[in-house]
Amino acid sequence: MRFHRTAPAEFRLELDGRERLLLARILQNYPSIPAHYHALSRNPPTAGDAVLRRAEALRQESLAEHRGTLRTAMTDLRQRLLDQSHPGRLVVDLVADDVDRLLQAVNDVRVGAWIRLGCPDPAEVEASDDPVRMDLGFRMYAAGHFEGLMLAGLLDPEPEAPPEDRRDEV
Amino acid sequence: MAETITPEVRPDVTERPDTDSEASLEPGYLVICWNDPVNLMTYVTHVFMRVFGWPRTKAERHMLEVHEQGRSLLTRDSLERAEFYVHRLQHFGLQATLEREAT
Repeated sequence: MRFHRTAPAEFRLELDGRERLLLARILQNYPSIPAHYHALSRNPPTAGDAVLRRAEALRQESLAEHRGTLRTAMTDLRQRLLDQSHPGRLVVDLVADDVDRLLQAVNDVRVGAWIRLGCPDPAEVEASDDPVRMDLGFRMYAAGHFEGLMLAGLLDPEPEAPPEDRRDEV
Repeated sequence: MAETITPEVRPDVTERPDTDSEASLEPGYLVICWNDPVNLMTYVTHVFMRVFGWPRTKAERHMLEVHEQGRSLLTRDSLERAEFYVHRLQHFGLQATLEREAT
């Protein structure tokens, strides 16, 4: 897999045939984080606190709507990844918002698997004979692999433009 | 140098206690990001840069605060803006909350 910046806010994702299948399999598990993982506040609103109760309801609505949008986007991407009429290497051009959506989905699958494993120290997730736990561990590491490569490409400093008077030099 | 004194004209000031906007009356809200052991440090940095438009150095400073101190106060704002930031941070899967500022 190769992920790199092509313009200040544009990126290119290049995948070979096996990586396409792997990413499609990861995205199949979106969303994985349970809704109750998030809350508006660490101090839950009291029965009489109408402002914060309304804000909590709004937050839940916002998260559900966002997940619906993201699920649609990831379904579309999975179709491209699994499209057997164009097998082999796939090049996907993405703008910054597309990258955010993909990162959010991949990270969700990784964190969701970690939660289902019982929130262990990520460095100490042990191999297991249990097929369910083995699959969750695999999801964590596979999603982490894609996430790490994308973040490396994102946080790479943007290539500097050559000085005006040297642009025509080859 | 000689000065010309011009009459100072000031607007009339009238007490209008009921016309303050709701935003100026409501307490401040703190947006806090809490540590979890699973999100990658580079991911958290990227999210702060995207959500707040911060430069990388500032985003990394807050990311390290989350990592080392268990939490970082990201911003203080009105309820509406604090909600917006919490929604965006949670869309990225971060453990973010808003807390009412102590008065």
